[in-house]
Amino acid sequence: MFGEFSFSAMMALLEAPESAPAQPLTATVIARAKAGDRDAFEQLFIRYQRQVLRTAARMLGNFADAQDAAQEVFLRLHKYLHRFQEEREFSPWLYQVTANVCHEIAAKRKTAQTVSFEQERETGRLENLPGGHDVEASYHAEQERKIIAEAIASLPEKERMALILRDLQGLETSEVARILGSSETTVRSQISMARVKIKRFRDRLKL
Amino acid sequence: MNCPNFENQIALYVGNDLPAGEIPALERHLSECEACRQFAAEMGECGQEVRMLAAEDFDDAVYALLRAQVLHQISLQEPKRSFWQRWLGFPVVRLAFASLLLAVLVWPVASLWRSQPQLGPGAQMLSGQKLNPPVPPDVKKNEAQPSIESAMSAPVTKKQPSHLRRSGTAISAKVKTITEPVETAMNPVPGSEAMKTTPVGPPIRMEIPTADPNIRIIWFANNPTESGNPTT
Repeated sequence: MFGEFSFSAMMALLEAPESAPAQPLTATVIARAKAGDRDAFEQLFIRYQRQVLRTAARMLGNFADAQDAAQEVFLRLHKYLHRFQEEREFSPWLYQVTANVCHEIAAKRKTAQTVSFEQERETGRLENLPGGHDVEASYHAEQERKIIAEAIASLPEKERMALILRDLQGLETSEVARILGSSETTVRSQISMARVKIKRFRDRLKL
Repeated sequence: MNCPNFENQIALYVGNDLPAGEIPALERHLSECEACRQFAAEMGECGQEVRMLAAEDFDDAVYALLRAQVLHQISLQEPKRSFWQRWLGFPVVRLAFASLLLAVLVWPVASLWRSQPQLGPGAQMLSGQKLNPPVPPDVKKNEAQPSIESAMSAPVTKKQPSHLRRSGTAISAKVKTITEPVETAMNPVPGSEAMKTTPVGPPIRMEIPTADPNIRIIWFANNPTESGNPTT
Protein backbone atom coordinates (compact mmCIF):
# COMPACT_ATOMS: atom_id res chain seq x y z
CA MET A 1 0.00 0.00 0.00
CA PHE A 2 2.61 2.49 1.09
CA GLY A 3 5.18 3.51 -1.42
CA GLU A 4 2.63 3.09 -4.18
CA PHE A 5 -0.32 5.15 -5.24
CA SER A 6 -3.64 3.86 -4.08
CA PHE A 7 -6.60 4.20 -6.37
CA SER A 8 -8.45 6.74 -4.24
CA ALA A 9 -5.33 8.81 -3.85
CA MET A 10 -4.84 8.75 -7.59
CA MET A 11 -8.43 9.86 -8.11
CA ALA A 12 -7.91 12.72 -5.71
CA LEU A 13 -4.80 13.60 -7.66
CA LEU A 14 -6.75 13.71 -10.88
CA GLU A 15 -9.62 15.66 -9.40
CA ALA A 16 -7.40 18.31 -7.86
CA PRO A 17 -4.44 19.14 -10.07
CA GLU A 18 -1.32 19.77 -8.08
CA SER A 19 -0.62 23.00 -9.83
CA ALA A 20 -3.92 24.41 -8.59
CA PRO A 21 -3.97 26.14 -5.24
CA ALA A 22 -4.84 23.82 -2.43
CA GLN A 23 -8.59 23.71 -1.97
CA PRO A 24 -9.94 23.37 1.53
CA LEU A 25 -10.20 19.70 2.34
CA THR A 26 -13.43 18.23 3.45
CA ALA A 27 -13.62 17.45 7.11
CA THR A 28 -14.24 13.85 6.15
CA VAL A 29 -10.81 13.35 4.62
CA ILE A 30 -9.10 14.89 7.62
CA ALA A 31 -11.24 12.86 10.00
CA ARG A 32 -10.45 9.68 8.09
CA ALA A 33 -6.75 10.48 8.08
CA LYS A 34 -6.91 11.14 11.81
CA ALA A 35 -8.53 7.75 12.28
CA GLY A 36 -5.57 6.12 10.55
CA ASP A 37 -6.91 5.78 7.02
CA ARG A 38 -3.86 5.56 4.79
CA ASP A 39 -5.68 6.53 1.63
CA ALA A 40 -6.95 9.69 3.30
CA PHE A 41 -3.44 10.48 4.48
CA GLU A 42 -2.14 10.05 0.94
CA GLN A 43 -4.82 12.44 -0.26
CA LEU A 44 -3.64 14.98 2.29
CA PHE A 45 -0.05 14.39 1.21
CA ILE A 46 -0.76 14.87 -2.48
CA ARG A 47 -2.84 17.95 -1.83
CA TYR A 48 -0.20 19.70 0.26
CA GLN A 49 3.14 18.33 -0.94
CA ARG A 50 3.83 21.30 -3.19
CA GLN A 51 2.92 23.83 -0.54
CA VAL A 52 5.28 22.20 1.93
CA LEU A 53 8.27 21.54 -0.32
CA ARG A 54 8.21 24.90 -2.06
CA THR A 55 7.84 26.81 1.18
CA ALA A 56 10.63 24.83 2.77
CA ALA A 57 12.87 25.33 -0.24
CA ARG A 58 12.38 29.09 -0.15
CA MET A 59 12.77 29.31 3.58
CA LEU A 60 15.93 27.21 3.67
CA GLY A 61 17.35 28.19 0.29
CA ASN A 62 18.69 24.71 -0.23
CA PHE A 63 17.12 21.74 -1.95
CA ALA A 64 18.59 19.01 0.25
CA ASP A 65 17.51 20.78 3.44
CA ALA A 66 14.10 21.47 1.93
CA GLN A 67 13.67 17.77 1.16
CA ASP A 68 14.62 16.86 4.72
CA ALA A 69 12.26 19.51 6.04
CA ALA A 70 9.37 18.32 3.88
CA GLN A 71 9.92 14.73 4.99
CA GLU A 72 9.95 15.81 8.60
CA VAL A 73 6.80 17.89 8.13
CA PHE A 74 4.85 14.96 6.72
CA LEU A 75 6.18 12.56 9.33
CA ARG A 76 5.03 14.97 12.02
CA LEU A 77 1.75 15.37 10.24
CA HIS A 78 1.24 11.62 10.38
CA LYS A 79 2.26 11.47 14.02
CA TYR A 80 0.42 14.50 15.37
CA LEU A 81 -2.58 14.74 13.09
CA HIS A 82 -4.79 13.57 15.94
CA ARG A 83 -3.99 16.83 17.73
CA PHE A 84 -5.34 18.92 14.89
CA GLN A 85 -8.58 20.58 15.87
CA GLU A 86 -10.96 20.30 12.98
CA GLU A 87 -12.55 23.68 13.59
CA ARG A 88 -9.24 25.21 12.52
CA GLU A 89 -8.13 25.56 8.93
CA PHE A 90 -5.75 22.85 7.87
CA SER A 91 -3.49 24.80 5.53
CA PRO A 92 -2.34 27.45 8.05
CA TRP A 93 -1.76 24.69 10.58
CA LEU A 94 0.48 22.89 8.08
CA TYR A 95 2.31 26.14 7.32
CA GLN A 96 2.94 26.47 11.03
CA VAL A 97 4.43 22.98 11.19
CA THR A 98 6.54 23.76 8.12
CA ALA A 99 7.78 27.02 9.61
CA ASN A 100 8.72 25.28 12.85
CA VAL A 101 10.59 22.50 11.08
CA CYS A 102 12.42 24.97 8.85
CA HIS A 103 13.35 27.03 11.87
CA GLU A 104 14.79 23.96 13.60
CA ILE A 105 16.76 22.91 10.54
CA ALA A 106 18.05 26.45 9.98
CA ALA A 107 19.11 26.63 13.63
CA LYS A 108 21.05 23.38 13.24
CA ARG A 109 22.67 24.59 10.08
CA LYS A 110 23.52 27.93 11.75
CA THR A 111 24.34 29.84 8.61
CA ALA A 112 21.76 30.19 5.93
CA GLN A 113 22.99 29.18 2.54
CA THR A 114 22.46 31.72 -0.16
CA VAL A 115 22.04 29.08 -2.81
CA SER A 116 18.60 29.15 -4.28
CA PHE A 117 17.11 26.85 -6.83
CA GLU A 118 19.91 27.32 -9.33
CA GLN A 119 21.49 23.97 -8.68
CA GLU A 120 18.17 22.28 -8.97
CA ARG A 121 17.44 24.01 -12.25
CA GLU A 122 20.82 22.91 -13.59
CA THR A 123 20.23 19.34 -12.55
CA GLY A 124 16.80 19.40 -14.14
CA ARG A 125 14.82 19.02 -10.95
CA LEU A 126 13.18 22.39 -11.38
CA GLU A 127 10.57 22.74 -14.03
CA ASN A 128 11.36 25.45 -16.53
CA LEU A 129 9.29 28.56 -16.26
CA PRO A 130 7.07 29.39 -19.15
CA GLY A 131 8.96 32.11 -20.95
CA GLY A 132 9.22 33.78 -24.31
CA HIS A 133 11.22 32.45 -27.20
CA ASP A 134 13.50 35.46 -27.20
CA VAL A 135 16.84 34.18 -25.95
CA GLU A 136 18.01 37.59 -24.78
CA ALA A 137 14.79 38.31 -22.94
CA SER A 138 14.89 34.85 -21.37
CA TYR A 139 18.42 35.37 -20.24
CA HIS A 140 17.52 38.77 -18.79
CA ALA A 141 14.51 37.30 -16.96
CA GLU A 142 16.62 34.46 -15.71
CA GLN A 143 19.19 36.90 -14.29
CA GLU A 144 16.45 38.93 -12.59
CA ARG A 145 14.95 35.82 -11.07
CA LYS A 146 18.34 34.64 -9.85
CA ILE A 147 19.02 37.99 -8.18
CA ILE A 148 15.66 38.01 -6.44
CA ALA A 149 16.11 34.42 -5.26
CA GLU A 150 19.51 35.24 -3.82
CA ALA A 151 18.10 38.38 -2.22
CA ILE A 152 15.41 36.38 -0.49
CA ALA A 153 17.89 33.78 0.67
CA SER A 154 20.05 36.50 2.17
CA LEU A 155 17.27 37.87 4.38
CA PRO A 156 17.16 37.24 8.12
CA GLU A 157 15.09 34.19 8.94
CA LYS A 158 12.01 35.92 10.36
CA GLU A 159 11.82 38.46 7.57
CA ARG A 160 12.31 35.72 5.01
CA MET A 161 9.53 33.61 6.50
CA ALA A 162 7.13 36.53 6.66
CA LEU A 163 7.90 37.58 3.07
CA ILE A 164 7.59 34.04 1.68
CA LEU A 165 4.26 33.44 3.35
CA ARG A 166 2.90 36.82 2.28
CA ASP A 167 4.34 37.36 -1.20
CA LEU A 168 5.10 33.86 -2.46
CA GLN A 169 2.32 31.89 -0.79
CA GLY A 170 -0.15 34.76 -0.93
CA LEU A 171 -1.42 34.55 2.64
CA GLU A 172 -3.04 37.48 4.37
CA THR A 173 -0.98 39.43 6.90
CA SER A 174 -3.23 38.26 9.72
CA GLU A 175 -2.72 34.61 8.68
CA VAL A 176 1.03 35.09 8.51
CA ALA A 177 0.95 36.60 11.98
CA ARG A 178 -0.95 33.59 13.32
CA ILE A 179 1.40 31.10 11.66
CA LEU A 180 4.53 32.82 12.91
CA GLY A 181 3.08 33.59 16.32
CA SER A 182 3.60 37.32 15.98
CA SER A 183 1.42 40.37 15.91
CA GLU A 184 0.21 41.82 12.63
CA THR A 185 2.25 44.97 13.28
CA THR A 186 5.42 42.94 13.68
CA VAL A 187 4.72 40.95 10.54
CA ARG A 188 3.97 44.14 8.59
CA SER A 189 7.25 45.59 9.76
CA GLN A 190 9.15 42.44 8.79
CA ILE A 191 7.55 42.38 5.37
CA SER A 192 8.29 46.02 4.64
CA MET A 193 11.92 45.68 5.72
CA ALA A 194 12.30 42.52 3.64
CA ARG A 195 10.91 44.24 0.54
CA VAL A 196 13.19 47.23 0.95
CA LYS A 197 16.21 44.96 1.43
CA ILE A 198 15.38 42.95 -1.65
CA LYS A 199 15.07 46.11 -3.70
CA ARG A 200 18.41 47.35 -2.44
CA PHE A 201 20.03 43.98 -3.15
CA ARG A 202 18.59 44.04 -6.65
CA ASP A 203 19.68 47.65 -7.28
CA ARG A 204 23.19 46.84 -6.10
CA LEU A 205 23.62 43.80 -8.37
CA LYS A 206 22.05 45.45 -11.38
CA LEU A 207 24.49 48.33 -11.33
CA MET B 1 15.41 58.96 -2.40
CA ASN B 2 15.29 61.81 0.05
CA CYS B 3 12.38 60.58 2.10
CA PRO B 4 13.64 57.52 4.00
CA ASN B 5 10.73 57.77 6.42
CA PHE B 6 8.40 56.79 3.62
CA GLU B 7 10.40 53.75 2.44
CA ASN B 8 8.68 51.19 4.65
CA GLN B 9 5.28 52.74 4.02
CA ILE B 10 5.82 52.57 0.28
CA ALA B 11 6.99 48.96 0.60
CA LEU B 12 3.73 48.11 2.32
CA TYR B 13 1.68 50.27 -0.02
CA VAL B 14 2.83 48.45 -3.18
CA GLY B 15 1.88 45.15 -1.58
CA ASN B 16 -1.52 46.36 -0.36
CA ASP B 17 -0.40 45.92 3.23
CA LEU B 18 -0.54 49.54 4.36
CA PRO B 19 -3.28 50.21 6.93
CA ALA B 20 -6.15 52.15 5.40
CA GLY B 21 -5.67 55.10 7.73
CA GLU B 22 -2.14 55.74 6.45
CA ILE B 23 -2.89 55.53 2.74
CA PRO B 24 -4.25 59.11 2.17
CA ALA B 25 -1.19 60.73 3.73
CA LEU B 26 1.19 58.57 1.69
CA GLU B 27 -0.67 59.17 -1.56
CA ARG B 28 -0.58 62.91 -0.87
CA HIS B 29 3.18 62.67 -0.39
CA LEU B 30 3.63 60.58 -3.54
CA SER B 31 1.78 63.18 -5.56
CA GLU B 32 4.25 65.79 -4.38
CA CYS B 33 7.54 63.79 -4.31
CA GLU B 34 9.05 62.60 -7.60
CA ALA B 35 11.77 60.53 -5.91
CA CYS B 36 9.23 58.63 -3.85
CA ARG B 37 7.11 58.00 -6.91
CA GLN B 38 10.19 56.55 -8.61
CA PHE B 39 10.94 54.47 -5.56
CA ALA B 40 7.37 53.18 -5.45
CA ALA B 41 7.50 52.23 -9.14
CA GLU B 42 10.74 50.28 -8.69
CA MET B 43 9.38 48.66 -5.57
CA GLY B 44 6.34 47.54 -7.55
CA GLU B 45 8.56 45.95 -10.23
CA CYS B 46 10.58 44.23 -7.57
CA GLY B 47 7.42 42.90 -5.96
CA GLN B 48 6.29 41.47 -9.29
CA GLU B 49 9.61 39.69 -9.71
CA VAL B 50 9.29 38.26 -6.22
CA ARG B 51 5.82 36.97 -6.95
CA MET B 52 7.07 35.38 -10.15
CA LEU B 53 9.19 33.08 -8.04
CA ALA B 54 5.97 31.61 -6.70
CA ALA B 55 5.41 30.03 -10.11
CA GLU B 56 8.58 28.00 -9.82
CA ASP B 57 7.97 24.43 -9.02
CA PHE B 58 9.80 21.17 -8.77
CA ASP B 59 9.47 18.32 -11.17
CA ASP B 60 6.81 15.69 -10.45
CA ALA B 61 9.55 13.11 -9.94
CA VAL B 62 10.78 15.10 -6.95
CA TYR B 63 7.37 14.90 -5.32
CA ALA B 64 7.00 11.22 -6.15
CA LEU B 65 10.35 10.51 -4.53
CA LEU B 66 9.44 12.56 -1.47
CA ARG B 67 6.13 10.76 -1.12
CA ALA B 68 7.74 7.35 -1.47
CA GLN B 69 10.36 8.18 1.15
CA VAL B 70 7.87 9.50 3.66
CA LEU B 71 5.38 6.69 3.22
CA HIS B 72 8.16 4.14 3.50
CA GLN B 73 9.34 5.68 6.76
CA ILE B 74 5.80 5.71 8.10
CA SER B 75 5.36 2.04 7.24
CA LEU B 76 8.59 1.27 9.11
CA GLN B 77 7.41 3.17 12.16
CA GLU B 78 4.06 1.45 12.38
CA PRO B 79 4.09 -1.62 14.61
CA LYS B 80 3.55 -4.83 12.71
CA ARG B 81 0.31 -6.55 13.63
CA SER B 82 0.27 -10.19 14.58
CA PHE B 83 -1.75 -12.87 12.81
CA TRP B 84 -4.58 -12.61 15.33
CA GLN B 85 -4.64 -8.82 15.26
CA ARG B 86 -4.94 -8.91 11.49
CA TRP B 87 -7.75 -11.49 11.52
CA LEU B 88 -9.64 -9.88 14.35
CA GLY B 89 -9.62 -6.67 12.37
CA PHE B 90 -12.40 -8.09 10.17
CA PRO B 91 -15.86 -7.41 11.66
CA VAL B 92 -17.25 -10.78 10.55
CA VAL B 93 -14.47 -12.67 12.27
CA ARG B 94 -14.91 -10.53 15.35
CA LEU B 95 -18.65 -11.26 15.44
CA ALA B 96 -18.13 -14.99 14.99
CA PHE B 97 -15.53 -15.05 17.71
CA ALA B 98 -17.83 -13.17 20.10
CA SER B 99 -20.72 -15.57 19.38
CA LEU B 100 -18.54 -18.60 20.01
CA LEU B 101 -17.28 -17.14 23.25
CA LEU B 102 -20.81 -16.38 24.39
CA ALA B 103 -21.95 -19.93 23.57
CA VAL B 104 -19.07 -21.46 25.50
CA LEU B 105 -19.90 -19.34 28.53
CA VAL B 106 -23.66 -19.81 28.46
CA TRP B 107 -23.88 -23.55 27.66
CA PRO B 108 -22.63 -24.95 31.01
CA VAL B 109 -24.94 -22.63 32.93
CA ALA B 110 -27.92 -23.59 30.81
CA SER B 111 -27.26 -27.32 31.10
CA LEU B 112 -26.84 -27.01 34.87
CA TRP B 113 -30.12 -25.16 35.16
CA ARG B 114 -31.92 -27.82 33.13
CA SER B 115 -30.59 -30.74 35.16
CA GLN B 116 -31.54 -29.20 38.52
CA PRO B 117 -34.46 -31.25 40.01
CA GLN B 118 -37.65 -29.62 41.17
CA LEU B 119 -37.55 -29.51 44.92
CA GLY B 120 -40.49 -30.99 46.76
CA PRO B 121 -41.77 -29.54 49.98
CA GLY B 122 -39.65 -31.96 52.02
CA ALA B 123 -36.51 -31.03 50.25
CA GLN B 124 -37.53 -27.43 50.51
CA MET B 125 -37.89 -27.86 54.22
CA LEU B 126 -34.54 -29.57 54.49
CA SER B 127 -32.86 -26.94 52.47
CA GLY B 128 -34.37 -24.25 54.64
CA GLN B 129 -36.78 -22.94 52.06
CA LYS B 130 -40.15 -21.65 53.14
CA LEU B 131 -43.08 -23.79 52.34
CA ASN B 132 -45.71 -22.18 50.29
CA PRO B 133 -48.62 -24.54 50.56
CA PRO B 134 -51.76 -23.99 48.56
CA VAL B 135 -54.60 -22.91 50.74
CA PRO B 136 -57.94 -24.50 49.95
CA PRO B 137 -60.21 -21.80 48.61
CA ASP B 138 -63.29 -22.84 50.38
CA VAL B 139 -62.90 -25.12 53.28
CA LYS B 140 -66.12 -26.66 54.51
CA LYS B 141 -66.64 -28.89 57.38
CA ASN B 142 -67.04 -32.49 56.23
CA GLU B 143 -68.17 -34.94 58.84
CA ALA B 144 -67.47 -37.94 56.62
CA GLN B 145 -63.80 -37.32 56.44
CA PRO B 146 -61.66 -38.86 59.14
CA SER B 147 -60.49 -36.66 61.88
CA ILE B 148 -56.93 -35.55 62.21
CA GLU B 149 -56.42 -37.65 65.30
CA SER B 150 -57.51 -40.85 63.59
CA ALA B 151 -55.42 -40.08 60.63
CA MET B 152 -52.41 -39.52 62.82
CA SER B 153 -52.76 -42.92 64.37
CA ALA B 154 -53.39 -44.73 61.12
CA PRO B 155 -50.50 -46.77 59.84
CA VAL B 156 -49.08 -45.77 56.52
CA THR B 157 -47.70 -48.46 54.31
CA LYS B 158 -45.01 -47.36 52.00
CA LYS B 159 -43.78 -49.39 49.10
CA GLN B 160 -40.28 -49.52 47.93
CA PRO B 161 -39.67 -47.01 45.20
CA SER B 162 -39.71 -48.45 41.73
CA HIS B 163 -36.08 -47.75 41.02
CA LEU B 164 -35.09 -49.64 44.13
CA ARG B 165 -37.15 -52.61 43.14
CA ARG B 166 -35.26 -53.09 39.96
CA SER B 167 -32.81 -55.92 39.95
CA GLY B 168 -29.18 -55.02 39.68
CA THR B 169 -29.62 -51.77 41.48
CA ALA B 170 -26.67 -50.79 43.53
CA ILE B 171 -28.90 -50.33 46.51
CA SER B 172 -30.23 -53.75 47.08
CA ALA B 173 -31.29 -53.03 50.56
CA LYS B 174 -33.86 -54.93 52.44
CA VAL B 175 -36.65 -52.52 52.48
CA LYS B 176 -38.56 -52.36 55.67
CA THR B 177 -42.16 -51.44 55.53
CA ILE B 178 -42.55 -48.55 57.75
CA THR B 179 -45.54 -48.84 59.90
CA GLU B 180 -44.91 -45.97 62.10
CA PRO B 181 -47.49 -43.29 62.66
CA VAL B 182 -47.01 -40.49 60.31
CA GLU B 183 -46.61 -37.09 61.61
CA THR B 184 -49.07 -35.60 59.33
CA ALA B 185 -52.67 -36.20 58.63
CA MET B 186 -53.52 -37.91 55.42
CA ASN B 187 -56.94 -36.39 55.29
CA PRO B 188 -57.27 -33.59 57.73
CA VAL B 189 -60.71 -32.41 58.54
CA PRO B 190 -61.33 -29.19 56.77
CA GLY B 191 -62.04 -26.44 59.19
CA SER B 192 -60.46 -28.26 62.09
CA GLU B 193 -57.84 -26.61 64.26
CA ALA B 194 -55.06 -28.55 62.60
CA MET B 195 -56.24 -27.57 59.21
CA LYS B 196 -56.37 -23.96 60.20
CA THR B 197 -52.91 -23.86 61.65
CA THR B 198 -51.27 -26.31 59.28
CA PRO B 199 -53.29 -26.70 56.15
CA VAL B 200 -50.61 -28.90 54.66
CA GLY B 201 -48.59 -30.99 57.01
CA PRO B 202 -44.90 -31.77 56.89
CA PRO B 203 -43.76 -34.41 54.43
CA ILE B 204 -43.92 -38.11 55.02
CA ARG B 205 -40.61 -39.55 56.08
CA MET B 206 -39.45 -43.03 55.22
CA GLU B 207 -36.30 -44.62 56.40
CA ILE B 208 -34.78 -47.46 54.39
CA PRO B 209 -31.91 -49.44 55.90
CA THR B 210 -29.33 -50.82 53.50
CA ALA B 211 -26.94 -53.73 53.67
CA ASP B 212 -24.44 -51.43 55.15
CA PRO B 213 -25.59 -50.60 58.68
CA ASN B 214 -23.91 -47.24 58.40
CA ILE B 215 -25.98 -46.26 55.40
CA ARG B 216 -29.64 -45.50 55.62
CA ILE B 217 -31.78 -44.08 52.92
CA ILE B 218 -34.17 -41.47 54.14
CA TRP B 219 -37.01 -40.83 51.79
CA PHE B 220 -39.39 -37.92 51.97
CA ALA B 221 -42.72 -37.87 50.26
CA ASN B 222 -44.85 -34.93 49.41
CA ASN B 223 -47.97 -34.07 51.29
CA PRO B 224 -51.00 -36.12 50.49
CA THR B 225 -53.04 -34.93 47.59
CA GLU B 226 -56.74 -34.62 47.57
CA SER B 227 -57.06 -38.28 46.70
CA GLY B 228 -54.98 -39.15 49.69
CA ASN B 229 -52.06 -40.70 47.80
CA PRO B 230 -48.70 -39.33 48.68
CA THR B 231 -46.48 -38.34 45.83
CA THR B 232 -42.79 -38.56 45.97
